[in-house]
Amino acid sequence: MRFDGLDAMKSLSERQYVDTLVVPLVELAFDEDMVRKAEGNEVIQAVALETERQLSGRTMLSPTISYVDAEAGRALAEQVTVQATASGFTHVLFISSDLRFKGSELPIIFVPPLALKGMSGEQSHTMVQNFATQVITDLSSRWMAT
Amino acid sequence: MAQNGSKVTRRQFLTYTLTGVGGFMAATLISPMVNFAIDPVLKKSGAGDKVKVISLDDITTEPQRVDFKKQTQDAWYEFEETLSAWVFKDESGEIIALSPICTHLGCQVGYGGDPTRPTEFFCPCHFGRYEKDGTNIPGTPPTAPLARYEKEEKDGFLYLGSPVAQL
Repeated sequence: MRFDGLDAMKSLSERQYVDTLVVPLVELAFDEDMVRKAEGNEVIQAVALETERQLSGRTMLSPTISYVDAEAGRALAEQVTVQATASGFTHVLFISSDLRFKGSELPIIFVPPLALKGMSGEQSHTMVQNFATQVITDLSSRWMAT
Repeated sequence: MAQNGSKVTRRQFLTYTLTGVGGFMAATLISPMVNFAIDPVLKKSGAGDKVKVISLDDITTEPQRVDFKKQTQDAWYEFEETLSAWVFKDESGEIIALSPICTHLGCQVGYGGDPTRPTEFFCPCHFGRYEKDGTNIPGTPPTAPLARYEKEEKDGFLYLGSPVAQL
């Protein structure tokens, strides 16, 4: 489900079914690092959308959390986790390409920054599918465990 | 009395008028019928709004997932929608294209997604299960079978249209 009025209403009324929040976590930069961050964003958004498309009955795709400072980003992600959990989301999963979060407690699936638009349609499709499968497998195993 | 210079009598005037109006009415009735009768001729050639997805030679009895894009219009907003289908041949050799959208809450099912049941469709979200032909298995969340795509076989390729719910 998407973060829009209609889906939000549905998710509230089907709370026992929609219990997973997927959050894109994107770092912003506007200097020469911008290209790399933007490529990260490309992959993160594509993977997040594909995950939502395949698992729309149980997951809600949150709007992107973006940050300039890694520490602030982490704090924001933790706040979102706390809020979402308090409101009945059992699982919260972040998608990020920021390896500084590697050691953190946050449940994150990492995707590499890639220039998807520079690839052929077929190639980028396969690429996104593969990463989305990784996310879906991760979520499935979480669901199986509960 | 007819006026001077007029050659049309009252009787002639009525005949003309009635023939005209009658003819017009008849045309109104008949032209749509003609339209229906020759409808196939008027239809656009090609597979209509169906999309070419896979070569017929590549379809086996093992369901495989194909992704394809379709132009969709939502009110005035036109966009490209990514769709998926599970395509296979059943025992009689007929091609079946199932929609992967779970009839429970809309997740996408996978064939053999549950390793212990390799010949069933499995929904990872709430563990719904379907037979290979798309029939929902009682006792699992879905209450309806998987939808099937409108399909057309043409020039060695499979074309898919919109999914049709099965009851």
